[in-house]
Amino acid sequence: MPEINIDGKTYQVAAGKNLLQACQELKLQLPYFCWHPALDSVGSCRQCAVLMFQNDEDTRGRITMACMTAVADGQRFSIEASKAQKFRQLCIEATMTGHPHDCPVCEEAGECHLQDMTLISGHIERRFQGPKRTHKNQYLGPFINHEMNRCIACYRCVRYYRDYSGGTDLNVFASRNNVYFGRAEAGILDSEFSGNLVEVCPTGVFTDKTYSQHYSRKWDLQSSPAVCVHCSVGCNIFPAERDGILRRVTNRYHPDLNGHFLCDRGRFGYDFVNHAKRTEHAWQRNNSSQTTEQLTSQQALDSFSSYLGNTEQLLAIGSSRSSLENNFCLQSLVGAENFYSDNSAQLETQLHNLLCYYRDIQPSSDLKKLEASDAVLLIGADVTQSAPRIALSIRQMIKNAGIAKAATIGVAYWSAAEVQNIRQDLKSPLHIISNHSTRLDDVACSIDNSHPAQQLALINKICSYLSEDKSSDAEVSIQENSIAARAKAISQDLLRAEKPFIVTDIHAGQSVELFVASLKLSAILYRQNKHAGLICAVPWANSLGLALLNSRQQNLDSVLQRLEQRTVKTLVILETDLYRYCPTEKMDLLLADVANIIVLDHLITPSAEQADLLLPSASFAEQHGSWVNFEARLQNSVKCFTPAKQRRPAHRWLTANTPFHSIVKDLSGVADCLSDLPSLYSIQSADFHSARKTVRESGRTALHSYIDIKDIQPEIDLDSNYQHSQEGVASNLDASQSPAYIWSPGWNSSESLNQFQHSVSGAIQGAHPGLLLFAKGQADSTCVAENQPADSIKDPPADSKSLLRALPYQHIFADEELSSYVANIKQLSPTDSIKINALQAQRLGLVANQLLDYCFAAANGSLIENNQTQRTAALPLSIDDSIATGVVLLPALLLQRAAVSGDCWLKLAAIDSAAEESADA
Amino acid sequence: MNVTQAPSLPLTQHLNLQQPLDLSAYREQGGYLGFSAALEQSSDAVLQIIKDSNLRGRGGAGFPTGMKWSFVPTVTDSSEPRYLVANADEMEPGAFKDRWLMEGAPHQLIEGMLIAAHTIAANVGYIFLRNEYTIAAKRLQQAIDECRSAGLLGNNIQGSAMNFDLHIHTSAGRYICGEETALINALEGKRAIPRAKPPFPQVAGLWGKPTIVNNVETFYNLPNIVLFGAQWYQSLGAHEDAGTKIYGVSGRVKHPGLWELPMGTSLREIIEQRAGGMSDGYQLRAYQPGGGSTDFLLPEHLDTPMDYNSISAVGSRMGTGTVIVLDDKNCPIDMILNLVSFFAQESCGWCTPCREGLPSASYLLSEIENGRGKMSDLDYLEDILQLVSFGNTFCALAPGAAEPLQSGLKFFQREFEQHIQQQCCPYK
Amino acid sequence: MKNDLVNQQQIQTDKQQLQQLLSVQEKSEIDQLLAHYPQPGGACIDALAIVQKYRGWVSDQAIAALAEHMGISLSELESVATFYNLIFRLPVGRVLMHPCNGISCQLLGYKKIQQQLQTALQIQEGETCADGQITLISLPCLGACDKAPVMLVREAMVDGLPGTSSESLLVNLHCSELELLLQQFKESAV
Ligand SMILES: Cc1cc2nc3c(=O)[nH]c(=O)nc-3n(C[C@H](O)[C@H](O)[C@H](O)COP(=O)(O)O)c2cc1C
Ligand code: SF4
Ligand code: FES
Repeated sequence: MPEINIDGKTYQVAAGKNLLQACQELKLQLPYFCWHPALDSVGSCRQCAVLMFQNDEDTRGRITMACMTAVADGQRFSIEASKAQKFRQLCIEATMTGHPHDCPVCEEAGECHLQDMTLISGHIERRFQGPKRTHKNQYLGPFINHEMNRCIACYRCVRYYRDYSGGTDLNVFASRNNVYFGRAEAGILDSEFSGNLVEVCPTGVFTDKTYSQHYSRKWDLQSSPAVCVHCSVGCNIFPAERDGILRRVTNRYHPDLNGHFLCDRGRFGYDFVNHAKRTEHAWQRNNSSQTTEQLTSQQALDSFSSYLGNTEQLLAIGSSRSSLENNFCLQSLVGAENFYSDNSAQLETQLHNLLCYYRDIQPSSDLKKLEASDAVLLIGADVTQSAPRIALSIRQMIKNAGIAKAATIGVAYWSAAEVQNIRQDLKSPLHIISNHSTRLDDVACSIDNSHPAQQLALINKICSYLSEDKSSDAEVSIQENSIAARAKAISQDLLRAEKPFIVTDIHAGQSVELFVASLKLSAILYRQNKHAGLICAVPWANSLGLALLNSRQQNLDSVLQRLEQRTVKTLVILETDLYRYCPTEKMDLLLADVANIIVLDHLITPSAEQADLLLPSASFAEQHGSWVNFEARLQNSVKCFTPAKQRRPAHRWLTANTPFHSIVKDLSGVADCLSDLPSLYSIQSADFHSARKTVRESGRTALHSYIDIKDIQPEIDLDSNYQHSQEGVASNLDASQSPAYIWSPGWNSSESLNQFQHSVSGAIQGAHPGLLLFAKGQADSTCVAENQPADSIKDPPADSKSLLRALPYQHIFADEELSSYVANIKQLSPTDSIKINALQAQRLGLVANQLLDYCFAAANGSLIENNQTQRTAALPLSIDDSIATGVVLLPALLLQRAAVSGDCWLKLAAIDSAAEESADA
Repeated sequence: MNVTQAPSLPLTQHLNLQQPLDLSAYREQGGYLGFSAALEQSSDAVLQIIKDSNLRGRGGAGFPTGMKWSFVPTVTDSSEPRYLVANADEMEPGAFKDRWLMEGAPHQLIEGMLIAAHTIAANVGYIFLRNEYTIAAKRLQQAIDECRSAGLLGNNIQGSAMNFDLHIHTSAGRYICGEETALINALEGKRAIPRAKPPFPQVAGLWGKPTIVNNVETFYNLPNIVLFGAQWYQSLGAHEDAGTKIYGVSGRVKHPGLWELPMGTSLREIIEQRAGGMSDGYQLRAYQPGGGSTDFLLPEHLDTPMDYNSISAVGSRMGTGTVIVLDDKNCPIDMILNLVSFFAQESCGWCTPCREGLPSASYLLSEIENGRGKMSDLDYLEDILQLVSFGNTFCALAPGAAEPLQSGLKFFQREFEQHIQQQCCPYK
Repeated sequence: MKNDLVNQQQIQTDKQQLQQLLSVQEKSEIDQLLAHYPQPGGACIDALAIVQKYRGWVSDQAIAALAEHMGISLSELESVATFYNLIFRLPVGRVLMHPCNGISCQLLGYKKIQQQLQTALQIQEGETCADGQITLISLPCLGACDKAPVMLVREAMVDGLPGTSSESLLVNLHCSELELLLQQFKESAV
């Protein structure tokens, strides 16, 4: 550990880092703009200047940028020297010459890094009296505001957007003091990760437009350490509320998962919490009078228990998007034999396979390890659409070859621009095997878009190359571009790598054979290299949690069967919408015969509309709960605010007055791996509380003054140590519990994170990283062969010529249920279409944009009657040449709705346009 | 042909601005003999000659050329490209020497580059040429074509194992492109933003490969050094530094122009004898010895020899060696304003002190020049100087801009105060 | 809208139209360039110069077409194009007049010349005259300080400018006659 001297004090600092990182870890106050813990150093803003001395005799020293200076033993620096201080002051004075000083109307004010740094630098007086430069702003889509005049040209935005997230449509234009950061022309930002600009920009150039729509100052917000519910990654977030409205979501640093960044679905998909279709009250349908009546909470509870009085023909469906506690309470209430998941049989099996795999064969890996990997094989997943944060990590992994190369000539990883120059287009290998082109194609070194059968052949071939030893190198001439050649190239990269990764996912409609083969491949790799990793995304936020509870693997297919057999009298639906799994008409029919439908949900979903008894539940932001992410990491999410009206967490409807801690305790007994669950929830204590509101919270007592000028007492949270007020321990004062917000004296912006970390990439003090359920005690991986994967993919049934293998295409803004209630997200979801390649279209006599009709074929080849009416089902054809012949792509949700168990086949037919016209006339 | 007689003007011996020598004529006069001589020696041997000659780069900083080249790593993988670049961007205010050389003797640049390429084992070369230099572009292209057909460029040059091809890259206009790392970014088709050093271009330059950038005039020195040796070259200098140098004078002198003179010729000789002294009716007020980014000097410094150390000793820089003369009828503040606004305009926009500091300085100067200055503006200007001084900015552009300003504030203090007190420019 | 079908169609046809916007000549020169570079982005500046050579300036459409042809993003190309002084993203006249505003030329009378040109052409710095023929853009030091003050007109360096009093000479200039007139402009100065 190098020892350095700063302002007369000696410190031990971590080797290999730069001085700015070291200063942050030492909590020395040194201002900066262009440096960012994830974007590293470029030395452009010159704000982190310190004085560096040549030797002990040197008294003058020279100015150097801390962010560009590698720490080395024996160095001597000064932050406080007047020369350095004066320079930093002059530098920020220069920065501010063009700034509009519009803090009173700026949304960043109060949490602005620029404000903080101005103060730290000590610049107080404006001398420059000349004109300020001004710019025009651009429309950048529904998520992000643009106010270029506030720009201080730190270049973070373009460095994040282009170099980090791989976006191409944001850039810097012009030069000198006229530089402009934006798009070449106004328009919607193309990146799925554009929202991070809001936090990356140190001032108010890029701000959260959804937040503007119900803006509140940071100091009036109430927030909590929560977990994102929009996909299986389980990114850590801070939801923030004021006056019953969820105002925004910001990133909560988790070193092994989301790091500094979220995807746009996670950041901007929160508005379903404020939706007009939120359930507010308990309702009961009165069939005799054909009315619906509002119930009091007690009436609702009574009614609920009277419905459940008869457990005969009772069926309850849990939810992949609801917490473990909610699902558990439902399961306990109705009995495991009556409890079903909302997964298809196919998904359910795969999820259980994955759990067993994690438990017995190879532990799961996190995103930090993925980012450190040096070769990735991505199979079958368009992760940018399904579990977006994973894709962002893959983009970082690509850079490792260049970082390694730079290291050979002594250039440190944090020297961002230099590493990039040395790297040029050198990439760590990413191989993609997928049904169609993906959003990661631009960084891939090989892409195999082919028929599932061929993909399987390729994977099996890779497996055989991996399991054979080196002698196979001698194999006689492999034909170029043959499956063998490609398999060889991929397996060589995987074998050569120190930390190879397999990335895949489980999603509805995917080929199960491919999934099983991917697991086998990963197992073989892991057997040879214990640093090998597996990342497997799963469908929804708590898919794995639900699978854990549901050891009987009772699934949606059986639910539908039982509904069809009319053997359900009382149906309890917890926070899931059956209409997402079945065509509307069919579902209507199935539900028509169920006597009692009880729905617990926070949104009036199509299923909720069918309820006889509707119980309004709390959204993720209004309840405590735990979730199991893709790597079987159990994380708890703390309630941000108290649910209004009759809303309450589903588990409170299900168990009436059982204290939350008892639920947690009971739940921890369900499975071995859950035994540590209570440790996630710190013990209740009478004298220790963390504040959800900031110490500066100004408006609480005035909030309801239009109703009553008496101060309304904040709600008391019996279930946690968090207070719904500014009373209690402020965010920065305690390190034993995760803070509810990030704010530290002098550090008002999200950059204050550094005040909560021991090291630049370390966890937030007090934050629980979550429990890795299968981290310990790996069994020997001999049972790899247990799930013997298939050698081939099933051929199309009978009449194969006109039948195409139907596979899903996913979309970040279309597929997830909760976010799809949000108008801004909806706006960006693509119009549905049917996709095949040009050749296929030609063979079928179809042309692009033509409206098509389609019907599904069952495994035996018979065509399934299309349950949706022909007219609404028709979709336009879109041509995509990355799709293999014999394959047709449908929107993921549509395919899921088709509710065909097992593989899915499709017959396409053009809609007779003449008939169409006459119908129109 | 064998040349035994060492030239007294090794840089301009072949110069012909009307009609530069074509390949055969150049060869007849001893052209490419220096290269042939180099090719017969190992690259280490040539490097040693250049080191011994004490040749210092003519691009402004005066960095020893041999030393610069020696940082290029030894060849380990012969398939890996290495690049050689002639910096012909010449946008420094008051500098016009490289254009003169290139228009007058294009082959000598190519010969110099061939010698350098042989020494550092470069296989691709670029001439990074200022857009406005269209005549030079034509003449250089012609010379390159001639060389290609004559086997002086391309593969297996003159039957040796050396492969080297040469291209002209025309700049799209920006002073910062002259900064060698920004130049490399421009060659890569990017915005010309400077790069941080280390890594130096010698190790990771163009496309991340080893790259040497030298000034045009530097290359013109090479053929005769190789041919006549380090000792001969050293003996050419009049004072401390070796060789000859192109000196120039512009401004209100009788005969503005360029001359090749021994390194270390005194400023007095250059201004009074070569340029013929001030035009009638004008007095010498001050001058910048090495182009627009060098500190002003006064008449009292005229006896200083123009070489790197001597000029530094009196508080300025050798720079490009092209003197800009300020007479007594032009307003010195207007002159500084012109220079500072040029640098502010040409700032690449990457680092804060330069991007924001120079425009502020330029604004303050124009306020003063136009009779709206305040005495406090002078302190503000001093502060800006501190902001943009050497080491504080990302590259040397802004510190260059600071030089005329800082010496101007010192030497023309009375004029500044006059402007402010009288609220007008006394020269108008 | 992201990935929207209708938009995609639109983009497809736009792309085709864009491709046609570049001439065969331009495309072939650009293709030759591309062959030299390890990455297409490397050819940015030269490719912009080619387009400008044929069109005088680089229009929004032309730059979009070029980005499409080179397979790089519009924002990357635009970022480079707007960085350099001599890539024109606004229309310029057939003739570019570049008086030198470098320090040596200023010391010897640039301001007066610029003033004369502005009055004669009835435009300000950076503007194009009403008939669209001449654009006035001062450039920094043109590297002809020994002949200062100078002006670059259509690649030709014009010196001996000061002392000319005949502002009227430049009024109503026509391109074809420009060189001749400049000659006279100079001669009248003697
Ligand atoms: C802003 C700036 C502009 C420069 N312009 C030029 C130039 O036009 N021509 C040049 O040869 N060197 C220029 N230089 C110096 C180069 O960076 C580099 O030092 C030089 O080309 C090296 O050549 P030499 O070693 O032969 O002197 C400039 C430097 C700076 C900081
Ligand atoms: S827009 Fe924001 S991030 Fe980008 S340069 Fe300006 S201040 Fe920095
Ligand atoms: S943070 Fe160091 S220069 Fe910007």
